Amino acid sequence: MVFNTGAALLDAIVLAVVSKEEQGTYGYKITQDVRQVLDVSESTLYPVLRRLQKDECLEVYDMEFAGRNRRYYKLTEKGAAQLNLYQIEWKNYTSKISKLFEGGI
Amino acid sequence: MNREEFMKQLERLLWDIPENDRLDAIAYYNDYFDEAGIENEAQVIRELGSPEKVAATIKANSNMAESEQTEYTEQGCYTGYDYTSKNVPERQDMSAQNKKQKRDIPWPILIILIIFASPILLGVGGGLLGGLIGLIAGFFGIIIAIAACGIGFTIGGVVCLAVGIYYIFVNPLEGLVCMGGGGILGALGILLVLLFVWIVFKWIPALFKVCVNFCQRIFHIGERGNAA
Repeated sequence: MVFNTGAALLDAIVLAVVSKEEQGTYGYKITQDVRQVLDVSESTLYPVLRRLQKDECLEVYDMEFAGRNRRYYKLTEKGAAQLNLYQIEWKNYTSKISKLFEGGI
Repeated sequence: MNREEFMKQLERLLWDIPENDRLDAIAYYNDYFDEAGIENEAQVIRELGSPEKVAATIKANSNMAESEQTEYTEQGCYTGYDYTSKNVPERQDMSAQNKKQKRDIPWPILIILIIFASPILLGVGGGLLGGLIGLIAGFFGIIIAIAACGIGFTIGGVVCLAVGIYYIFVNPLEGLVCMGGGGILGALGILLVLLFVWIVFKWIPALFKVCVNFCQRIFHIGERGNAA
């Protein structure tokens, strides 16, 4: 992709991916899901998840899976509100750009 | 580089961030490798790049969480400076040395630990050394005392014998007692001198040999440990 992804957009994408799973999802799957739409390096997502967790947009819990602990990430209420905000902003932003591209502001 | 080496190096590189951040990051990437499975291990390592890069990404984000400078591109995230080459000490070419040394505690922490533990180390070490020197000194003291007693008894015995011989002409009974005492004293003295000679010429070389053997064994064990 020729467009760089800013921190806010990446946050929005991660929040969106996590919100798809009611029970939460885990780091490896989040990375794989994000990489389906965006070619980010595997090391990019951990800091994002950590930051969203510190900002209380995501909460974590551990659950046993195949004899070991798996850390799940789940959207908090604050995270859901944040995602909602991002989606509105994104709609505004893209519709303006699209309008411009298709001629006539 | 395999998973274990990757994780070890990552942990080493993260020594200067808060412990709970470090543990969280290590747990995350351990999880990540587990989820990817053994068959994808090499691919994950290739995709992650190097431990230096992963560590730099973690540090850059924990330092400037609020900064809007951070930009995520297809190559990773950038915070306006080149951390892949300069910000992190180069460790890759030292991995052979690291393996030999097998040093798990980062050296700055080790130095601090030694400094803080020095009163204890000095106390215990000084005590042990003092005890050892005391034992050796005591041993030599006993040997010297044996020699001194031996010589003293012998001289005393000879003197008593001479005095006895003199007295036998004045007072035969006292003279005889004195001679007898002198003889016993002299015999004891000669016995002690012989004991001293025996210790000096038989025990000390033997003891010395034992010490040398012991030191050599320690040295050889050390050598073997280094070679392994």
